[in-house]
Amino acid sequence: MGRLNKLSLTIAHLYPNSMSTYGDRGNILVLQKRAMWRGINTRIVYSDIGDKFPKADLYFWGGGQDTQQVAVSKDVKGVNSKIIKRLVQNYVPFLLICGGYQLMGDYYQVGDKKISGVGALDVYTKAGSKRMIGNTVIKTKLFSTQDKNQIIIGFENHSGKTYLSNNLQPLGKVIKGYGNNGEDKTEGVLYKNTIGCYQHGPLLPKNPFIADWLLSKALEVKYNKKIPLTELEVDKEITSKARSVLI
Amino acid sequence: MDLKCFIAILIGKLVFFINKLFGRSGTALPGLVAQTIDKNILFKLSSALEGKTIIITGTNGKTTISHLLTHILTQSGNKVLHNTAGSNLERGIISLYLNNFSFISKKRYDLKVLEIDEAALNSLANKLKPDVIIFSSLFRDQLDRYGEVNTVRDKWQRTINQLPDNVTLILNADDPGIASLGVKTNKKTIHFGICKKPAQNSEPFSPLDFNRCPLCNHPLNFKYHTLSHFGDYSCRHCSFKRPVPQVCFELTGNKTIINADKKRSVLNTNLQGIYNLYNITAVLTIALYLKKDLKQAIENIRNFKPAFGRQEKLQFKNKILTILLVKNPTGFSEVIRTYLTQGKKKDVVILLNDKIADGTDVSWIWDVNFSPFTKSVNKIILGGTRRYDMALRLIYEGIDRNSLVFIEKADEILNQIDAFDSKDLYIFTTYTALLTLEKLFVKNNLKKKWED
Repeated sequence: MGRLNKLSLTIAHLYPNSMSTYGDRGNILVLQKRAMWRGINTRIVYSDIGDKFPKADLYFWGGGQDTQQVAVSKDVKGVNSKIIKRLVQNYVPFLLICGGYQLMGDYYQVGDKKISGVGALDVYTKAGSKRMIGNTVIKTKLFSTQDKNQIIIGFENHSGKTYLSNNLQPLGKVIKGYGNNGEDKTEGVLYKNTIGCYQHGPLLPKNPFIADWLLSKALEVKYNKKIPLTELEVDKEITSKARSVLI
Repeated sequence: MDLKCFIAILIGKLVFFINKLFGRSGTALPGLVAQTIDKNILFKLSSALEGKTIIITGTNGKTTISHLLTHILTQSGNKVLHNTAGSNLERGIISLYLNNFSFISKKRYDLKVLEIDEAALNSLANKLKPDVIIFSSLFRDQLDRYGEVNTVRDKWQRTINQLPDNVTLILNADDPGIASLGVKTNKKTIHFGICKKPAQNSEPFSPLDFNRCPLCNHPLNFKYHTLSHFGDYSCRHCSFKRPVPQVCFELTGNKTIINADKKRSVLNTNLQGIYNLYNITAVLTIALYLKKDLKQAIENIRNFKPAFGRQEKLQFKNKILTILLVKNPTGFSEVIRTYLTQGKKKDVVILLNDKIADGTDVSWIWDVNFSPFTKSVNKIILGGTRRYDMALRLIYEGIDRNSLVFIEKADEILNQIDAFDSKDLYIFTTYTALLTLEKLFVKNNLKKKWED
């Protein structure tokens, strides 16, 4: 691909006002800058309660307060749910954190009440009595081309316990922290090009390999071919030092 | 007074004495000991110590409000018992009361001004027997410790409802999370806030922590914002809207006017930033409640020196250091807005720790508005346990890697600062790093030890 055909990506931030409590918007900044540093044009679009569902090449949906989550769950029903399911099936990449992850599943159960989700991921969440809070270390092989173990660093703060159906692949194995439910040592999910997980921190600044994976998947789907991303030096040393504090 | 209480006070006082003998200055231990002997010691001491009790709580502004209030009351001749930010939990208050309790003379103070941690308020409100509670603001802060803003608000509401009816609430009219506390209560409420839409009104600079009605969860309509989610709002669904403030500030050109009790006065103060106008009007509302001479109170604000780490200024060689405590997205964004959006390029220091008192989760720095840094900052010294997280935050904001200087130990700050060109330096620091700084400054004779 020559420089003449400049690459571009549209990144959508879903529910940025209703669900953006935990610094997760940092993920958008990281995606935007890592694309920009490689000469890829980006456009960020925002869509909140009542807005038309935006067209984009990459979607981000973060965590919010419990009360906000109920309002969002109502908004996402119907048309939006259908569009999102189709996008996920068509390998359009989504990054879902905490509340966004929970709402992409089948339902969130509080006592006898079920808050329905988008149903794009075959997972469900039950309200827990204990808040699972703290720094996390997760082991994964999913983003390495050589099947090597990679470490994801994050911070979790949730009481919902998420369970995956048997045929779904977790994002990784919990080394430190609680993960999906504090029981089965799994954390998150990777389905097609959709990542759901409980990793705040935010996730992408300290785990740039996931940011680059999302960008390359978005490019691959948009341009219908693999487009290699150049290595970035700008943050390497600092990133490894920020990570080493927590490993 | 019963025997158990008597013994608890006696032994608590003894612990104070022993502490002093060994040169220790811990404020929690005597309280802890006395509490172990008598679980209800705080309630009993609150009853025994005469004078009105004023509680100040909320996310931001507690320390400045309580210091400024104490200053004004002291200037008007009152004897005030006042705790410090470091002892705003139960043991700290018990220690304070123990130390100031006398078996012989009952009335040693006219007023008790207590800054109380916003989470601790719920267990302390009844025991402290307050006459008035001031709720300054409610922002997202240390989610790992306090939880989400709606949770904090709902707990406060339950606490308020359990208090006797003669308690007065002084509420921030412009903060929907705070003002909503006065709706479903039969307690007397007094509000403070902005008088009318400011002449220069812009998009909110700091993140909004309330954009839905705290009472019915429908979206709020904002006519304007002053900072974060503060502003003139009304609910699109229920009848909840911004109450009319009895004490308010008006921004007209370069002047700030205070409107209180049907009188207008020009405000002169060293306290910078719109957030401090909220702190000042909060204090004047208490003064109004206490029937103080407001004109005199406003006059006395002029010579108030900021509390430790709250815009405190220190001189180091030929440089002026401004110390700014930061602990949440709104607070940090607002000090940036106050100090770094105008004038010459500046050098700054940021100290980010992740100890329990700072919040173990540092993700909040990603919600801070650092956009002015790309234009108005030269060099940035980064320190604290999570300095590399801060570096990543700034690099992704677009700050040049070469403008970052890392320090491992607080001691290195003074050498680094010395090498900088600018005369004015701004130090942004989280709580535990502020305590380290204070020791460093005392050691280097930059300031007198911060006294209780």
